[in-house]
Amino acid sequence: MTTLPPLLNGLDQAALERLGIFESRFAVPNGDYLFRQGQPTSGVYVIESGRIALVGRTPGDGEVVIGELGAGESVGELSLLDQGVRSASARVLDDCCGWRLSLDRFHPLAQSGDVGAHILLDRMRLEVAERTRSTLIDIGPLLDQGAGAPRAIGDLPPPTAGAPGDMAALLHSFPGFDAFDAADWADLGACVARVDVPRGTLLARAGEAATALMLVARGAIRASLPNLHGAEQIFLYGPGSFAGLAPMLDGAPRLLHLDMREDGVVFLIGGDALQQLRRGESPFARMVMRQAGLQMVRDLRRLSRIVGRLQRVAGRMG
Amino acid sequence: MCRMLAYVGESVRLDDLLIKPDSSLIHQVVDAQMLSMLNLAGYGLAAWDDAMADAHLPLLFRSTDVAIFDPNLRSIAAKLRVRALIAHLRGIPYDGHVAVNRQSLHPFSSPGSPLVMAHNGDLARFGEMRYDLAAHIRPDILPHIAAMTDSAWLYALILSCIDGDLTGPFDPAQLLAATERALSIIRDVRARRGIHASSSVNLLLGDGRSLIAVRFTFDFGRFERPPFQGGVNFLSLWYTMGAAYQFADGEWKMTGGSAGASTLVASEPATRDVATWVEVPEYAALIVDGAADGSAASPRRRIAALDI
Repeated sequence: MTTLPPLLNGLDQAALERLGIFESRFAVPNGDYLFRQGQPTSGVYVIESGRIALVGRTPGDGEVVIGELGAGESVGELSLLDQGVRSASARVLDDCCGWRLSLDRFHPLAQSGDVGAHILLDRMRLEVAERTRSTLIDIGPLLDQGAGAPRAIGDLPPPTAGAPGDMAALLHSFPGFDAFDAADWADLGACVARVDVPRGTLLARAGEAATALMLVARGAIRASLPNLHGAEQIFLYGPGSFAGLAPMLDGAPRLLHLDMREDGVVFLIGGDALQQLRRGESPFARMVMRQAGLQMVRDLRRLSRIVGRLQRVAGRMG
Repeated sequence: MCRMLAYVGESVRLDDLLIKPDSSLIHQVVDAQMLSMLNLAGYGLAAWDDAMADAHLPLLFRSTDVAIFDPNLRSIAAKLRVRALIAHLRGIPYDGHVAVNRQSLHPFSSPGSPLVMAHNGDLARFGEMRYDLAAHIRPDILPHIAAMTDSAWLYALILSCIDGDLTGPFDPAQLLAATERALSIIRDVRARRGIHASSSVNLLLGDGRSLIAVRFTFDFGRFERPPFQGGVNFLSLWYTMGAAYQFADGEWKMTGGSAGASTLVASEPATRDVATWVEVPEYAALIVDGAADGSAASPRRRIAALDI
């Protein structure tokens, strides 16, 4: 192994050994699949030689090539953040071999706070933020062709901040937060401000710098991409979801308007508090960031589906 | 909390739609993938095919039997071909407060009209809203409301919001406008009554040619106290499209490219592999125009936002 993919760059030998990256080799001949869309995830593949195509299925029994990858690149890395199912198939174009990072090995390390695993998780979150951003930029022209549903966003007064109140009562039923204990709720309460927000309130405008991550406790936040006609809803964040993760992580201006689709309660997590959580120094911080990572992957996958839908509309949905 | 399915397109055997796929509607009676409830309170369907008598009117079939155990459904489905369908499984809370009866089964219909409707979701505190809604329902429709349920009244309200007579055929834009008007009336009544609980209104509304598939929730996320019946996510609605729905290459799927004339919409995909299905966006409707030619000027399918 001479070339490490960007994902693994800079990790020292000890970290790579703990991750077991060189313990499991793979080799797949031309025409076969490394994995197929819809299969459970099991690992990340680091390509040493050969080429693969990432292929997604589309309605009507079609397929679309999402991209091609070669030596020194990795594939399947979203599974570090989300142990769901593969969102695309990896078809081998030229006989392909390399190394496989097993999720069975990785996730216990991540949970225990291993430095190498933590670096990979943070890199992946930034990578997903970047992919989300570039996909949103790509969607813009499709919406401007009139493929989207136009909607105007009003300019409404900002919410008023207050004390967090009983966060556990509001959030303990939602996935990820059901594992919190009293100490976790106290830790979370210490780094948030609560806002009770009426329907229609504009929480953040596209183009602005992000100053707080938003955790929805009640109601829903709508994230919309501005276009020539108004704005198109891209994401909807209900209770237990974070809104505004990508710009809070990558520091670039927001691409999406955020407004309250329904009356609700939102907890604001400021930049300093988020940086503290990103360091992953406590089980609580790792738990929160795990939730954030899961949601970022969900958002990215949803975005891919929206791109597919808009492309079909722009090219005539039929 | 119910499951439902609609189809418009090339003629297909009913059991290909309802029974054979690995997560078909009748499997969802006991094993829905995106809902943690059983759907045991009966089922119903409205089916259209050109070979039927009075082909513009649907064949209507409703039964309080549990669909997955009903041999009559399997027998009929193996012999019947349809070019349009709206089917529904009724799921109700496990608390004994809701009646299981034939009058409450979907899809709802009106004599002489091809227009039927199925609903997935529930309107919180509907009993308090019912008589406010009566003021918005046409006098000729009010006496014929089949049941006291939210769904039966929602259907009557949508019919009342349609401009023109109810014998059809209907323009999809006309059906969408009526649905939007009805949802706006309900939003106003909820506000007046101080009803804020999250209430899902996913709808399938069709006349055998046009189809409106609505994914909508009033006050989404305004949950009161757990356990939250039906889950905490926005109630799902998915679709797929192509030339023909069939078993090919070892799986059930639409084939022939996405520009094909057939559309299948369901609360959740009919197969466990969801790769070729697409979600209807939240607060939006998929509009299927069965009379369209699929050209840019006359698209078969489009998505409309519901800013209600």
